[in-house]
Order: sequence, then structure tokens, then C-alpha cells
Amino acid sequence: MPSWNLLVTASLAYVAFLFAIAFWAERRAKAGRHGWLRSPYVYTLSLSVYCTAWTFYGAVGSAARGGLEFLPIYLGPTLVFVAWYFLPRKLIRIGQTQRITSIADLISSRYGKSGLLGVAVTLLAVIGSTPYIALQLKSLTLSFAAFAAEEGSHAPAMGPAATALWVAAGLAAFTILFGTRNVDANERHHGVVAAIAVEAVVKLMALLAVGGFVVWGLFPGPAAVFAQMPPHIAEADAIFTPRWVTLTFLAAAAIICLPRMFQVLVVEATDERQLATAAWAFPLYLALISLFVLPIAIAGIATQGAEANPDLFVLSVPLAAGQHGLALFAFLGGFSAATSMVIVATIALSTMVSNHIIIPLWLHWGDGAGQRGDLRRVLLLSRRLSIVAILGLGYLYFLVSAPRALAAIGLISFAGMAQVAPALVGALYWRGATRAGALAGLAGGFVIWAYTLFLPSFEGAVVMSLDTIEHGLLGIAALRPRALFGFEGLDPLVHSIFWSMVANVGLFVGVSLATTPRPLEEFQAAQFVDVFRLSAAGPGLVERSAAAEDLLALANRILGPEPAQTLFAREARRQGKAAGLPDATDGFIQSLERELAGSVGAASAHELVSQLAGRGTVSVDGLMRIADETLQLIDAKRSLERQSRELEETASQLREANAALKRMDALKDAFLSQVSHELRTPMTSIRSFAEILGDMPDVSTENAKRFLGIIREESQRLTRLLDEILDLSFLESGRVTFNIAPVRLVDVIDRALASTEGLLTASDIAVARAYQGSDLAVETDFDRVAQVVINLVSNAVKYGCGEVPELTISVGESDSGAHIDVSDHGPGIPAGERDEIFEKFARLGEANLAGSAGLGLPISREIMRNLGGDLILLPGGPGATFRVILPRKAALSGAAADADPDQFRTRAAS
Amino acid sequence: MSDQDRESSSPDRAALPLAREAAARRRRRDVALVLPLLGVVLLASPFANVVAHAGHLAGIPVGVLYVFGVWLALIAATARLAGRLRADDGEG
Repeated sequence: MPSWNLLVTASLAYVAFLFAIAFWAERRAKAGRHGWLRSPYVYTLSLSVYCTAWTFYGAVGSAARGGLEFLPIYLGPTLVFVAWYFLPRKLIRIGQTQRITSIADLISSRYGKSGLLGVAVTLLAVIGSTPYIALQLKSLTLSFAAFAAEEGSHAPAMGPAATALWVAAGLAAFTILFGTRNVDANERHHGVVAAIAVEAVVKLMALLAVGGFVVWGLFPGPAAVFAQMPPHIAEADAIFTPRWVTLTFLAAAAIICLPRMFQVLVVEATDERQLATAAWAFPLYLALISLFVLPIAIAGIATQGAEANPDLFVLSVPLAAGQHGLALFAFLGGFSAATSMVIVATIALSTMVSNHIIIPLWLHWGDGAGQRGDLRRVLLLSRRLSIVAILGLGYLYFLVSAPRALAAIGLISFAGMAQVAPALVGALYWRGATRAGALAGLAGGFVIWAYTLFLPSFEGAVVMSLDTIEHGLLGIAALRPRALFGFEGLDPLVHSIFWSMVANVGLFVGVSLATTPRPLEEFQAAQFVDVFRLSAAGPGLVERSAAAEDLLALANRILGPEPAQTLFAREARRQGKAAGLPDATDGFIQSLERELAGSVGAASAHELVSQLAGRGTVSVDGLMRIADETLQLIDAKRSLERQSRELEETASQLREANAALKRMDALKDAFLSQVSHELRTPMTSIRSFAEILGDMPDVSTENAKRFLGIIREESQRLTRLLDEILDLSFLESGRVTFNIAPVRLVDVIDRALASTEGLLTASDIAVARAYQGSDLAVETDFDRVAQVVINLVSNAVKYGCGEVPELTISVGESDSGAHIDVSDHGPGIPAGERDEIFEKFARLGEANLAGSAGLGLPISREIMRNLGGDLILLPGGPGATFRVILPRKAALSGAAADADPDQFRTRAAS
Repeated sequence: MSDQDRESSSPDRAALPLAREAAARRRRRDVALVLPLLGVVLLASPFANVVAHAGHLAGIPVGVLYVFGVWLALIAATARLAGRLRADDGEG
């Protein structure tokens, strides 16, 4: 029987050994000789903080009560590690790129660097971990007591409370010494990692040794052990039960959500290659440590009876068999399991408490906003105080908690931290998850967990009375904590997990869908979800600026002068500066913020940098970047479509312009050829008669006279043609002046008929005047309108003399002015030629009477348009009716020019 | 299996070492995803009840052998796959 003194001495010697290992590892790491410290096997062993005293003692207890039921706690993590390529690898990559310091930091950083979420997760972690720390203290005092209870030992009068106090104090000392050596929580705690790796080996060896002794020492072999299997284990109904699935799920969530697991899995990881080994090595460790749990439990029941405490079988079985050395080894194994968990958990929790609660408060109320003071001292102090406070809380829980089985306490803790799982999985895979959704889910899950599992665990001692536990809040049966909404007959754990997860996931998804994320949230979401696709973090979302000196001062306060100098010098070199401070670019400010986040967490770092650099304005570029890739593609496609549509429009406009130019060009050619043709006819005849007169001296006087007459006539026709062309060109360019005066339409017609009297008489055409008594008057140019009417009358005489030799002239009034109609009884104008007659040199058919160059109608129309009216051909027949439209007051289109009006007046009379 | 996978396993695949390598890499990733799902089906579903009362094998309950057997098989498969996936990432 080992004496109490021997036990204490062995414990102290073991602790001294751990201190030495930690010191040695720190020294080696400081000298830069990491060697095996960075080996993936050390990483794997450090992951074994998952296996606490709960595993070491509690698993056997659990197996003694429920057979294989202890296994899901190890199968859950195994499944997560088998999926290492998809979940843990992504966590580690994000942890490294974002300089994540804890699970609270990850959640806070992902959901827009939200300080509130950081606080929420931290509080949940502290409340959830307190029972777990208490569990370790309890197992330690139980194991001490187990030795003390043995007869013959000299147990001093020290109660479990005092033992637990001493253990807690010792753990606090170790954690402060090795856990808060440097501020950068992102840096590995080499001493701690080395110590827990050694402890991992010790606890595995101890359990294997006890197992080996039981199976081959106490019994002749495994078959003999299982032959002793008590009926309540052997005759278990089924392996698969709702509780089995719940436990598997809880353990799977715990391996990534528990603060200490996140610490060793993500924060202490140096690279992803370690994970590739841990992916199979850690499950193997779990399988080995579980291997002898059932045999030890069976042996314990067989040798000690049902009334012995099964949680202590690992100790009591070798003790009862007289194997004191083995029992001491087992004790040290249990000691290792408990202490390693407490150390890592308090480091992780103290980081969370100081980064998410103390530092923000200090920044808010203290002189944190000022530029003075070394923030590192505040950080270290707050972490050390947090460690003491967390261990104090655990000790307090240990004192007040009911004497329950180890496994039950551990499961309460797991269930609490599992509330973070939906927000965490959403953070990694769902871009649409929002801060509000994560907060709502956490709060809902937490409330139900506390109501259905945590508070009832005190069995009436704290907050919730026994009456409430039995009959529900305010006696409402639907609110019974262990049968919520009448859900009876379920295992309390399954019941609590079911309701809390329904509320958690429901609120998380529902509120996320109903809310819109802020720009910073969207940016962080992309950084997290697409971490493998983004090769490097691009420039920040916001454009910020700050003085480089201020940034350096801030970095000095948090990182310390030397690392800050190194960081700034590196950036200056990168910017191509030989000396001096680097420019405070967006990119540099962002990377500095990430660097600071490694010490104080993302939310605090964001707050600190924002105090210097301002919140910044969200840049359009930044928003474009955070926009979904699909969205960007759609945008690009839309702008391409828009561009091509614009191009098409421009092209069709160009085509139209080109066609118009071609048409005008053709018109010009046609006009020129017409003009030259028209000019050549009279010229030819003038030249030939002139030649006859010149070459033939014997021309009779009579003939000579006749020839000269022809020459004169042709010359006049030539002049008239040229005058008309000139007239048209003046009209078309609007360079004509008009004499505007009040004009009676009857006077105009009288003048026109007077001018054409000779022509009318010669053709024997009667004029019907359908305007007797009218005294319609408009303001216009008398001579010009008369010229138009003369032209119409003479055209009617030339082309419109059908069977009835008569033309009708009438006047009329309309809203906008007046009109003069000239109708004949001729053949009319074919429908296809109605437009052509107003074209230059257009002659209807082949009829061509002397004196007309075919410019009459175009000139008339130009005149009327210049006067603000128009000349149109009225549809219908028989015959043709031209209408001269006159506005009430001539609106001159085209500027008046210095053309000689007399020139035209003379023509009007012709 | 996608069309591309089928293509890559056609007889003339030796001519396309790069395509074959890419297909193999994708298959390894697929297996890495299937493995944990298989683990869930084998270890946390009614499937496990099939062997719960199958008696004893060499004195050890078959249920216990089953759970530990599947467990170790998963570990072995993960170990085999992890090295190759790591190599894939190292190259890429």
C-alpha cells in the first residue's frame, strides 16, 4: 500500500518533471531548435487533451453502467477527423490566414468582427467549461481519496475541498507560468504543448498497463473477461439508440467547439501537414485508449461488486489486486489527464475572456483610447487574472455541485459548447449566415440548454428549485425542464439536445434569411467560405488612412517594440523604401490589423485600428469584390450585352446615314446630268443656227431672220433655265427675303389669271372662279404666292386639258390659315408619280412643252415652305387638284438673305 | 461517375497521363468525402444493431468486435488516403 506521503511525493515529483519538460521545450524553441516540437506526432499527442479525467476514470464508469455507451464520445471525433480534408483543414487554414485566437474570435471575426458575438461565445464557453473544470478537480480529489480510504494508509485530516484547492492553485501557477509567457495567443505555447504531449503518453500507457494487467494478469484472456460480462451490459437492447446518436453528434461538435480543442487543433497548429498525420493518428489514439475500457469495467464489477464506485475502477482494481506500483502509475495517468485539460482549457478561456471582455471594456472606459501605455502589460495581467478567476469558478462549482457521475457533468459541458456548432458550420460553409442569425441561434440554444440541462443539474441548489424541475416553471406542465412541451420518456440529454438544436438551428437559419448582412460581414464571409479559392487576401473592403507614426505607436503597444519594428521595416522594404516608415496603404493597414488580431482578437484589433484610421468609407471596388462571383459574371454579361446593343444601334445609325448620303449623291449626279442635258439642247440649236449663218453666205434674208429668231428664243430659254436653277438653289438654302404684307387671296388669283390670260385664251380654256365674294386675307408675300398660282395655272393648261377645257380655282379657310385649290379635268396624276412630280426635272410622261425645264413645281413648293405653308397634291380625281396652303401669318423659315428680290419679281411675271 | 471519369478509364488512357492524374485526384477527394459518411452509416445508424446480438466470436461479443473493427478500418483508410491527399496539395 503506497503511503499518503509517497503519493504526494510522487505527484510533486511528476509535476516537477513536467515543469522541467516545459522549461526545456521553451528554451529549445527560443533557440530556434524546434525539431520534434513541430512534429505531427507531438501535434497529435497534444490533441489528446480531449481525453480528460472523464475519459480516464469516467469512461470505465460509463461502461460499467451502460456497456458500449461510452464509445460514441470517441467515435464522434473519429468521424470528424476522417473528414479532416473538409472540416478541420478549412478551420486551420482560416485560423492561419485570419490569425484566429479562439473559437469566440473565429465566430466574432466571421460575423463582421462583432464584439457582441465574441462576448456571447466567451460567456457560453466559460459557463460550459466551468462544470468540466470542476469535473477534473472532482476526479483528482476522488483519486486521492481512493488511496486515502485504503486501510493502513496514513491519510491526514485533509478534506476533498482542501485537496481541490491545492490542486487548483498549483494548476493556476503552472498555467500562468507557461501559458502567458507571450502576448501573441497565435504563437505556440511550446512548453505547454511539450508537457501535455508527455502527459498524453503517460495517460495512454497507464490505461494500457491497467488494461493489460486486467485482461492477462487478473484473467487468463479477453474471452474470460467477457464471460464475466454482467447481464445489464450483455443484454443491452441495441447499440444504436437515440442516445447513441446524440452522444456521437455531441462529441463530434465538441472536438471543434470546445475552447481547449479549438486551442490545440487550430490555434497551436503550425501547418496543415500536421493535420494529415493527426487525421489517422488521433483516431488511433482514441481507439487505443478505449480498447481496455470495457474489460476494466467488467473486471471491476466482477471483483468489487455493484456497489463500488465504477468511476474509480481504474485505481481500485489494481489496488485490490495488490498492484500498488501499477495503481500509482494509474494515478499519475489520471493526474495527467486532469491537469492537461485544465491547463489548456484555462489558457483558451483566459484568451477569450481577456480579448473579448476585458480589453473591449478597457478600451471603452479605461485610457485605452489614449496613446500612452503598453497594452501588452494590460493583456498579460488580464489573462493571468482570468486564469485565476476561471479556476476559481471551477472550484466553486466543485463545491456546490451535487455528487453526480463524472460522465453526466462532462456531457452537460459538451451540450453547452455544442450550441456554437451551427454558427461555426455556417461560418465555414454558408455565405448567407448573418451576425443577427448567429446571435439569435446562440441565444435560443443557450437558453434551452440552461433551462433543460444546466440548471436542473444542480438539483435545486442554484436558481432553479426542485419544484420547478418536477412541475415546470410556475407549475406549467408544458414547461417541465425534462419534458418540454410534454416530450416525455426521453433521456434528459437527448431531450435537451433535441430542443436546443431545434431552437438554435431554426433561429440561426430563419434570422439569417430574414436579415441583410453588413458589408464587413459579407467581406468576412467570402474570406472564410472561399478560403481555399482566395490565393491571398486582397485589399480591404474599406479605404482608410492613418499616419504611419500612429500605427507604429499602436503596434509598439500591442506587439512590443521589436516585433513592431520588424513588421514596419519589412513593409517599407516591400514598398521599395530604403529607410523610414512605410506608407499607410489600405493593404498595410489591413495586414497590421490582422497582425494585431493575433494578440487581442479580431474585434478589438478592428476597434483599435479604427480609432486611428477611422471607419473608412466602403469603396465601390470593395463592394464589387465581395459581390458573389456569379453576380459579377451576370454584371459582366449585362454590360457586354449593353455594349453590343449600343454598338448595334450606332452601326444601324451609321448605315442609315450612309444610305442617305448615297441617295443624296445619286440625286446630285442625276441633277447635274439633267442640268447639262437641259443646257445642251438650247446650246446645240443656237450653235448650229449660228454656224449656218456664218458658213453659208447665200442664206436668204428671210431665213436669216427666222434663224436669228430661233437663236434669240433659245437664248431666252437658256437664261430662264439658269434663273430657275439659281432661284431654286436660293430657296433651298433659305437665302431669300420676302415682302410680308396683308394680302387678299382674291387679289392674288386675279393677278395670276391676268398674267396667264394670253395662255388661257390661246388654249381656249375657261376658268371657273369658285370664290366669288370671298375676302379672305393672310399675311404673306404677294408676288411669290402669285408666282406659285401662275405656275399651277400654266401647268394645268399644259397638262390638264382633257375633254372639258376648264379649270377650277377655289379658296377655303382652315384653323391654321387659308388655302387656294387649282383643279383641272385632265387625266390626273398616276398614284406612283404623286411624289415624283415635286422632284427636280420631273416631267410627267414624255410631254415636254417649251419653256418648262421641269423646275416649276419644286420651286413653288420651296416658296410655300419658305413662307411657312406648303404645296400639296390632293388625292382623288378626276383630274388633279393642287392645294396652296397659306398660314394666317407667314412664318419665315430660313434666314433672310441679301438676294435681290427684284430678280424674282420679274420672273413672277414671266 | 461523371462522363469524364468514364473517359479516363477507357483503354487509351495511357495516352493522357495528365487527364488520368486529374481524374485520380478528383476520385481521391470524392473518397475523402465518402469515408466519413460511410463511417456515420456504419457507426451511428441502425446498421450497427444488425450485429448487436450476433453472439460471440472467440469469446468476445460480436458487437464489440464490429465497432472496433470498423473503427480501425476507417483509421487505416484515412491514413492511406491522407498521405496521397497531402501529396496532391503539395503538388498543386
